Amino acid sequence: MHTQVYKTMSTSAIIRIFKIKKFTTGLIIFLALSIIGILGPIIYGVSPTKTVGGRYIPPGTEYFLGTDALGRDVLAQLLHGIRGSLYVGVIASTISLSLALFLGTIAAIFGGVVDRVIMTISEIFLLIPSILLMMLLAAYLPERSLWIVAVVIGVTSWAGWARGFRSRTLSILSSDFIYIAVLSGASKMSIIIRDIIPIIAPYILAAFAMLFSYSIMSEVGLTLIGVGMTKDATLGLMLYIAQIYANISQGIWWTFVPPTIIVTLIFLSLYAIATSIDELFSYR
Amino acid sequence: MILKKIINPFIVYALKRLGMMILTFFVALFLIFILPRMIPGNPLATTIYRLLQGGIVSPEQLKATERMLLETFKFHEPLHIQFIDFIANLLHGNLGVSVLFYPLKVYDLIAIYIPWTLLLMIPAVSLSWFVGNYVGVIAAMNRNKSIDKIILTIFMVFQGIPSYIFGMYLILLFAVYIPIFPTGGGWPPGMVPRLSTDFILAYLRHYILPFLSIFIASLGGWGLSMRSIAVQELTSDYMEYAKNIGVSQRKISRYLFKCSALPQIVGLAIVLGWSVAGSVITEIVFSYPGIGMIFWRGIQSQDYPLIQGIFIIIIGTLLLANYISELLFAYIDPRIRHAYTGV
Repeated sequence: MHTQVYKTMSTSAIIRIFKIKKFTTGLIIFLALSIIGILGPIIYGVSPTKTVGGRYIPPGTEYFLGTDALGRDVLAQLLHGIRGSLYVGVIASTISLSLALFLGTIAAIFGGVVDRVIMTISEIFLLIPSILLMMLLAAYLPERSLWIVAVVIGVTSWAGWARGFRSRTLSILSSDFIYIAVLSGASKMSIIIRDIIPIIAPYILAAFAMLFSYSIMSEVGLTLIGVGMTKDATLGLMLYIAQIYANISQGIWWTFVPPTIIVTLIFLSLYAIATSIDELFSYR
Repeated sequence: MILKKIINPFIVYALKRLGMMILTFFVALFLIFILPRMIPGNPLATTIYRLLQGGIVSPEQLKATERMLLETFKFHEPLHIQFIDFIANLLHGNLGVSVLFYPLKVYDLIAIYIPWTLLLMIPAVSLSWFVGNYVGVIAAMNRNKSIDKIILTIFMVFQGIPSYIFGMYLILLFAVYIPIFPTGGGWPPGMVPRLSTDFILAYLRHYILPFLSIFIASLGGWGLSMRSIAVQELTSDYMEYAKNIGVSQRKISRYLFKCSALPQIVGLAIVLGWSVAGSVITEIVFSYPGIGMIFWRGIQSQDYPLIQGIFIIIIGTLLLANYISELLFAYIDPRIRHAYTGV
């Protein structure tokens, strides 16, 4: 037993985190991209799948980001692509985070056989990454929607985080106040919800940010190698089409440079958010 | 308990991890087996239909392909017999015949293409390991100075940008705008791989851009982790001692490199195990003729035996590399194996 003061998400901590320049910059960039993804397709009402003009019209006054191989508006595709990629991020990271949080805390608090089974399963999932599962699915499903890709990414990416949640829960379980909670007859689930989760909340938030960017990057990677999405508009599909039509070697930069910049911005902003949370609330 | 004390804890650990690895491999094999059988519709019919649509194959070849697919998948047999057969074939190293490259065997195809992948990945990953770790130590020695901050920012950006984005920009810059390198491929069309100066020079010209894209993309990760290990190492007693007795900066950085490199060696083993899976995307961007390229063509034409074979190779190398790195780690750090055996 040891007494330790945990830094929880108090108001003062929230005020302090906004003073970290890295955090606020990351948050502003990410929020801006989210707003573009949500409102952009509504404001700019051009369909991303409709042929609007000749192929490969360079960016100009008529089409702000030009047109692609099929004569479609690249700006419309980019806006819908950001929205699609954000969907993938939300779906996949929610699935993955819930699995990781549930399995990680359960393993720690129940221990014994439950712990061993969960840890064994997580080890298998650590080694079977989403790319392999997607490869197999792709071989047998010629049409793949955003949902399939997001679910596969979510189901395959929880393992490492579950282990993180488990070890953090274990370190809290040895504290005095957990002892008191157990003595006063609190159930295991209520200990998880009332005592563990509030303390590891910053870590959960950081995990969410990292998983979110991981999911978006994974979708792009999977789609680009031809095993990901085939239908809905995402940043990955834009790059895939640019790749298929050899836009890169033809120097048609406007079809692939914008999505790569957005992907990089999403990663960097979420990475900055996650690392700032981690630095501020780290137990050490 | 007594048994545990007699047997070397390292061996106990090694055996336990081996069991885990085999279990994982079987789960993967089971997935490979069950997925095509779970998905509604007949994948054989789809393949045959696509071949027909393509219209390039002769009727004889179509028949032969159909027979071969039936032989590989044995859909008419009960499930458990199919599974036993599947495992038995694997143990004999029989991965079936490719549909796309008919009548080449999947095993031979992989044997032809995998050297090109390894030739690209191993030098690129190893060099970035050395450079990344070296620069990481320099950053740690100058921590919180401006040089450290610059290195840190560059590495963070490098780590965030995937290798294919570097690849695309490298092509745009050095093959389109300043055309000094070819835009893709492994060698000029019409050339046959052989050990002549002509071929090697042509190959190197095609090699530099994909090499650079992998090198740059993996630099950041190595550098960042090395810096954080080295910063911790710098606060240790022996480093304090070395500084106090006036050991030169150069020598300190050499010690620092050696002591901090141990966990990084384990990381290198894991990343090299990933190289087959990790090179797929780079090979596609550069149309580099390795395992990733034939995998992509297999996906495009739904070549089940080929995809299945590559899947098995990738998961196999991954698991093996992981196992080796675990053993290395346990060998270096005795706490791990003792924690495992409970001694």
